[in-house]
Amino acid sequence: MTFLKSTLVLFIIVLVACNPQAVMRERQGKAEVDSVLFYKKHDLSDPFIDAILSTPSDHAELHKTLVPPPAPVPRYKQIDGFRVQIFAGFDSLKANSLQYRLNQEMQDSVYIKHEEELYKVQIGDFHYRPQADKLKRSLKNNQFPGAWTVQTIIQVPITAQDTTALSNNTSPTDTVSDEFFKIQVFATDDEAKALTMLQDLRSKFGLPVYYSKADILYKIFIGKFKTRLETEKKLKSVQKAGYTDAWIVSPDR
Amino acid sequence: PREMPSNNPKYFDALKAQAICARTYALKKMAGRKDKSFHVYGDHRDQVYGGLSAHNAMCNRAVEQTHGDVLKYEEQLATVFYHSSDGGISENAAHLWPAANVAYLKSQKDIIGQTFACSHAPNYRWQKMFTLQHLDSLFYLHTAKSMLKKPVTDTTRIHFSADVLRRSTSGRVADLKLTYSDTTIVLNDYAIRRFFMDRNGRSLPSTLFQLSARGDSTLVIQGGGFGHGAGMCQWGALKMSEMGFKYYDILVNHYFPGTYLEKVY
Repeated sequence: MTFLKSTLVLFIIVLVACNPQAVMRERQGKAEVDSVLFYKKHDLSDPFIDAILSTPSDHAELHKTLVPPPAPVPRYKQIDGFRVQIFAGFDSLKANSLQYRLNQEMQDSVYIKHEEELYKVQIGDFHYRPQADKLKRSLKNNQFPGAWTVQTIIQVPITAQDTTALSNNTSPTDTVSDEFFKIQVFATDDEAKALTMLQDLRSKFGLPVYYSKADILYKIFIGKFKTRLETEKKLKSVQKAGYTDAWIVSPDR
Repeated sequence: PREMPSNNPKYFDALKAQAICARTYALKKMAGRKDKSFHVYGDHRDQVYGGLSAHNAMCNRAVEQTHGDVLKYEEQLATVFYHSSDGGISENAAHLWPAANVAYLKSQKDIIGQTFACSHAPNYRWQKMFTLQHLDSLFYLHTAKSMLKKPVTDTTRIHFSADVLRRSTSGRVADLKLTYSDTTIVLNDYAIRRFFMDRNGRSLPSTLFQLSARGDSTLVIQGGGFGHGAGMCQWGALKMSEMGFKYYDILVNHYFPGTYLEKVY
């Protein structure tokens, strides 16, 4: 009996030694501080933390005043003038490719105007018809036999004089003494020819006919019109009378 | 392994503390996601694992030496959280997660000896500045309203204000009211961090901050810490380990007071 008891006790000792979790769950209670360090907490003050804890509310405010940007200074003005047209058609691709090609080859500006379904390729910004005609002749001899001169709105750089006029809150037209639209019929460097033309026109049209001299050119004009519409109507009758190259001169020219 | 640097032998006890936290967290999540096809995310949504390539000898040794060890509280797996840096004061976890209203996750100043535990952390103190233009972009991102993106046709005075309405017990901003001209929004907790995104798309490091204005056009946010601030501060644990504290000091005696360690497998 004693032997049996001893065997049982020995068996339990061996069992526990080999696998302690078979008889008990290993539990590590709250660990003792066995660190090599001795440490003790002290309440520390920190300006940042203390400020946050002492003032729960916080406020920050920003302001900005937005001012509209000044209007861009215009670099060009639009006035009546002349261009040479080399193409008018429905094919926008052809118009674009022509514009691209001519932009590489020419110094004058090349424009595409889209008017009444037509794409028009026009070249240059000329104040006077003879200037445009000169380019037209050159183009006719080089690839564009169908080139022709058209009267249209052109784009010219704004001069210092224009800028001064703008800064004085006056329109460019205010700086021009002649404030009427007129029809230019002819320009020549021959004074006798100009005087003959003057008399001829006076007899044909019941309107004031006069000339002005610019450099060596005598420019002959008909009429003084207040509106472009009125001038355009008269231009048609002048052109019908055989002066097909006549064109309108705006007051700001 | 990606949760904590494992390149310095002095950090070994911090790694062991991290391993126990990660194990406790994972086991608790596994119990809660029994019916799901997976248990934990391998990224910031749960724990940043990093895959096998992130393993290294020191990290593996920390896992092996704490084999089966977990943190428990009142016979249950403890609720553990951890973050990069608490900025000197930890957050009351119940403020962020009402279910985590436990005694060992209350707000406390994170002090070791005569210093703040994570005072060496890179984000212990930080400052972020937001110009009015940047704030306009942030408002546009969140409310689709902008004052600066439309052309200015009339002289207009625009106004931005930020008001802290409420802070948690740790001083972290709980509710923040932002007013931008005629728009007002109120942001809470993590939404505050998400709103103040910098130009690289990074959120605000934490909600432990103060507001001020520099001039009329710059909002200055001065803050502390990185992360939610609840539970174990990883930079603090690294510092403690470096100083010679053991992993159970870090966990049981410092960051989760009242819990105990137990081997469950």
